[in-house]
Order: sequence, then C-alpha cells, then structure tokens
Amino acid sequence: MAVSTDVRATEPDIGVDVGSDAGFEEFARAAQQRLYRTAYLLCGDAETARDLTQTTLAKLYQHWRRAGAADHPYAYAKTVLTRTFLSERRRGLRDLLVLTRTGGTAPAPAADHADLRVTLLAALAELPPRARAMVVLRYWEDQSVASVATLLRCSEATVKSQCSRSLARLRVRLADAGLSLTES
Amino acid sequence: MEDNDDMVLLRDAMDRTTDGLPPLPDLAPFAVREGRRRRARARFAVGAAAFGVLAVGGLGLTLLPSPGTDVAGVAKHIDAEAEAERERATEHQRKTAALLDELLPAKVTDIRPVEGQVAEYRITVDGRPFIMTVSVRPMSASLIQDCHCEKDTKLKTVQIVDWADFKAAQYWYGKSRVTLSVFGWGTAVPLKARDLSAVTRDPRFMELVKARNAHPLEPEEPLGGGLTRPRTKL
Repeated sequence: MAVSTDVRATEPDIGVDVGSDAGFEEFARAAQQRLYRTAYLLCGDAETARDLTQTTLAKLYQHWRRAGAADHPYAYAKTVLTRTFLSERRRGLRDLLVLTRTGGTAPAPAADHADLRVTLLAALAELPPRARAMVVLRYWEDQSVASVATLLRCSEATVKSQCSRSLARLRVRLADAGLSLTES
Repeated sequence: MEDNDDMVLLRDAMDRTTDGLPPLPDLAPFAVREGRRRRARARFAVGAAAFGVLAVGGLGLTLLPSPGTDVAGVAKHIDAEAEAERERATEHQRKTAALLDELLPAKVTDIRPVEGQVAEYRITVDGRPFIMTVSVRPMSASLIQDCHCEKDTKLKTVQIVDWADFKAAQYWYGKSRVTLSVFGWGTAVPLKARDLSAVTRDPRFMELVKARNAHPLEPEEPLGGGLTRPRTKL
C-alpha cells in the first residue's frame, strides 16, 4: 500500500463559510474528533488531548477570518494544534491544561487493542516532544517531509533523520513488548 | 531511509490506538466563547501598548524615535508584562471555574469567570444568577503575625456564614485569606455554606490556594479586611 503525502486525503470534508461564526462552528464540529485523535497521539492521554483540542479550536476562532479563508483550514488547525502542544510542553503546562475542562472527565478509549494502545503510547512517550510531533504528523497525518519541516520550522534533513530514528525506536519497543507493527 | 511498509503499519497501529476514543461533546460553543476572550485580550494588549507610548510622551519624553530611546521597546515591555499578568489571571479563573464546575452541587449549572475581576464568577443556581467569590488575597503584615498561620499546611477556618442571602466560608492559609462566598443581593441563595466548604477539601483546590499564596493575583487586603460584597453587579 502506498502512503499518501497529500494532506487533503486525510482532511475532514468541510464546507467552510469563510469568516463567520456559523462557518467556524460547522468546521469545529466536523474537525474536532480528528483533531482529538491527533492530540491523543501527541499527549498520550484522553483528558489532556481533549483540553489541547479545546485550546486549539479557541485559538482557531481567534484568527478565524484568516484561518477560514485558508485553502485548507484543517491544515491550519493542525499547525495550531502541534505548535500549542509543543509550546505548552515547554512551559510545563500539562497540569494546568488538565484543569481547564468544561465538562466531565473524558473516559479512556475502549479496551479494543489495549495492548497495542498501551505499548504504542508508552513508546511514543519516550520520544522527545518534537520528535513525537514529527512522527505523528508524518505517519498519522500523512504529511510530507517538507510540510512537517515547515510546520516545525526545521530542515527537511532534520525531519528525515528524526523520523527514521524514531521509527526504529518504535519498532524495537513494540517488538520488545511482543507486538509488532504487522499485528492484525 | 524510511521503510514504506513500516510507515503504513505504524499508521495502522496509530489508527487502531485512537479508534476506541469516545466521541467528544460539542466543543464549538466553548471555542467561540474562549476565542472571543482571546480576541478581547489581544485588543486590550494593543490598547495597553498604545497607552504605554502615550504615557511616555506625557512624561515629557519625545514620541519620535531618537538614538538611545527605544519607545517601541518600552511599550512592548509594558505590553508583555500586562499580558503575562492577564494570562495568569485568566488561567487561574479557568482552572477555578473548572474545579467549581466539578465540585459544586449539580444544581449549579453554569460558572463563568468575570473578566477583569479575578476573584469573581457568575454562577447559575436553580436557574437563577448569582455572583460567587473565590478569593485568595494577601493579608496585611500585622494580621499575618496575629494569625500565626504563615507556615500552615492546612486551611484554618475563620468563619462560616449561612444566612439566607449570603453564604460564605473563610479561612487563613499562609499569608492569605481564602474566601468562598455567594452573595444574593437580597435573594435567597439556594446553596449551603457547607457546599462551599466542601470545595476546599479537594486537594486540587489546595493546589490553587498554594499557588496563589506564593504568587498572588489580588492586591493586599486593607486593614480589617474581611467579607465584602462582590464588585460585580448582577
């Protein structure tokens, strides 16, 4: 199977009413679950992922005139999500984010694939935040090396080498746990 | 070099890992509310910067850039400090509101921080609006000496008030006076004082108190400061 490098292939199908509140709400509702999944892979727990998603959407609303007019608002949202994740990691705000929920506690994902989930998240947690973001953007979001480099403001060579190293580490960690990427 | 099969398989593993996540509630209303606050803060920051520049001018300094005078730098500094303080206050209010949302009885259906009043929240109880105060305010130096509570690790109860139209629980902690109160402005408050004191038993609330005791967001109280009415009117 070939890996698509076209970000639009993974973008939610959203018709954006540029600049309006209604357009934003429509976009937010269509995109939130996808952003949440990405946030979960970045943060490793459901509650922090939910808070990160909330913060991302709030920041997006703040700049909605520009974001809504972008060719790919979802790509814009992903950029905000990733940069928010990295900046808040730097500021050590994980605990702070945990307390900003507006609803009840987010339950953990269902027990399906529990071993794989625990091991994969533990393996991702061993990566430095930027490397983790690169892995999630490159392999989960199907972004090209150039896109990841632009988003994280680094060189393409850095993205390639970090992703390669991270992929090797993930492969070893999963194999150590008796799981392999080929598990069905 | 990246192994294409591994990439595909990793993506599949990530897919399966996130497949079981429960659907989120609708986050759009929160995002709009919080986004508006962010816009307002940004506009305020621009205004504060402009005020900083004008204030420098008012002090007899030239507004025109000249060698050795970095007016923009001064404005940026003022802006950054004010913005950092506002961010701290906003985050504190968000954390407190989230905690109150969780810890107050279910008949409290809405809790919103009052912008510009770090200790005040608009709450709805049984469908009626009230102003709630959650304050961690530095005490005067003489009172700190009197209460002998500077090194306390627990809240020391000062008073519990359970009047019909005013409920309050007040404590000392370290160098601060901690107050939770709901003022009814003549209307009966459908909460009990013990609902307020229950909040203080949560360790997360104590973390908030400790943080504000170490880094206050409110000004020092006047001498004899005690229970006061909220500044915000309904």
